[in-house]
Amino acid sequence: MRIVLDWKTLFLGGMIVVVLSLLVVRSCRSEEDVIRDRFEELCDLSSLSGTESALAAGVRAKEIGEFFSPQLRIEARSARISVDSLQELRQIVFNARTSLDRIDVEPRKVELRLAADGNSASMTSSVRISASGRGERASFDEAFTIDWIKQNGKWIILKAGRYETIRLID
Amino acid sequence: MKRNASSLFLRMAVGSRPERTLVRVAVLALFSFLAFRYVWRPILVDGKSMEPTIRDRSFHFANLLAYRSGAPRRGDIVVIDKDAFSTMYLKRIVGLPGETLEFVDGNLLVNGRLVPEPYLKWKGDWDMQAVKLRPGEYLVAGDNRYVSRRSHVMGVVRDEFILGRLIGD
Repeated sequence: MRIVLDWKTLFLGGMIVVVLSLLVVRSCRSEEDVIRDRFEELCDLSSLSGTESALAAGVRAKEIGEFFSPQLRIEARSARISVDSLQELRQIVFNARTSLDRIDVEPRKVELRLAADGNSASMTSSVRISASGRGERASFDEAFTIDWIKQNGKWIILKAGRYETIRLID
Repeated sequence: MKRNASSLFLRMAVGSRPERTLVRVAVLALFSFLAFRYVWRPILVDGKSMEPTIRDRSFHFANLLAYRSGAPRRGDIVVIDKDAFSTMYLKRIVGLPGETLEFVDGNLLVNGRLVPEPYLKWKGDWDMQAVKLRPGEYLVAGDNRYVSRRSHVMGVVRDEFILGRLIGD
């Protein structure tokens, strides 16, 4: 038997190797990788690069809401923010997107601990948030603790809050 | 002559035995990395909450092993984990676990008794309702009592977040 290695065979072989490698890498991704990707996707969705119409802001608020559990709880005592429902979250996102010109949400560092059952995870993340609108600009680094749960095969956020080591006294 | 000068410079830079110099540099780099990461953490102060004791933009070191052998004491200036990564709070411990603390017109009361704060330049006029600390909890505050209490980050911190003590406080 004689094997002829012409350029077509080599190209086809190379393509098959690349596709198989991608399939293997994609199917062997750990749960941690999936959660990290979800978080990055959420940060990307939360960013805003120009003024947005009310309709677009509403659609984006709905998309962002899909990253959260209906039983969500978001707390940031020092910023005096407390969110208990998806509706409230969507409203806050909508208001921010229609009143600001630019929002950048850039994850800086992420630490993740997956629970033994593989259905929940705890994340600590430092995020740089920059926002501008109405002639004003603000940029700050903030750290968050985020509890993730897996529901119907999808990772969603159950609880989020600022990483607060000092409990402020009213 | 030119060649002599360059060989002299090379010899001054790497020594007569470059392999030994390389080992020394590697050991020094490793020691510095371990020392400044795990023992003496360099700190650049960003903020005025500890003024006038600690100036804004001043540079200090924190001893990260300070509380391996003993618990924090009242008056210690401690570094506290802020965001799990690289930012830290710099505060003074004013209350210890189990104590009940309150501020009345700038005076610190511990279990109902007035406790002097000799490190303050001005005691201020803070008021704070009585707070009972649980085991492992400390009350921390800055020395800058010129600012109002509500705009000053002060409160209760658990011992696991106290990373070390400021050197030379």
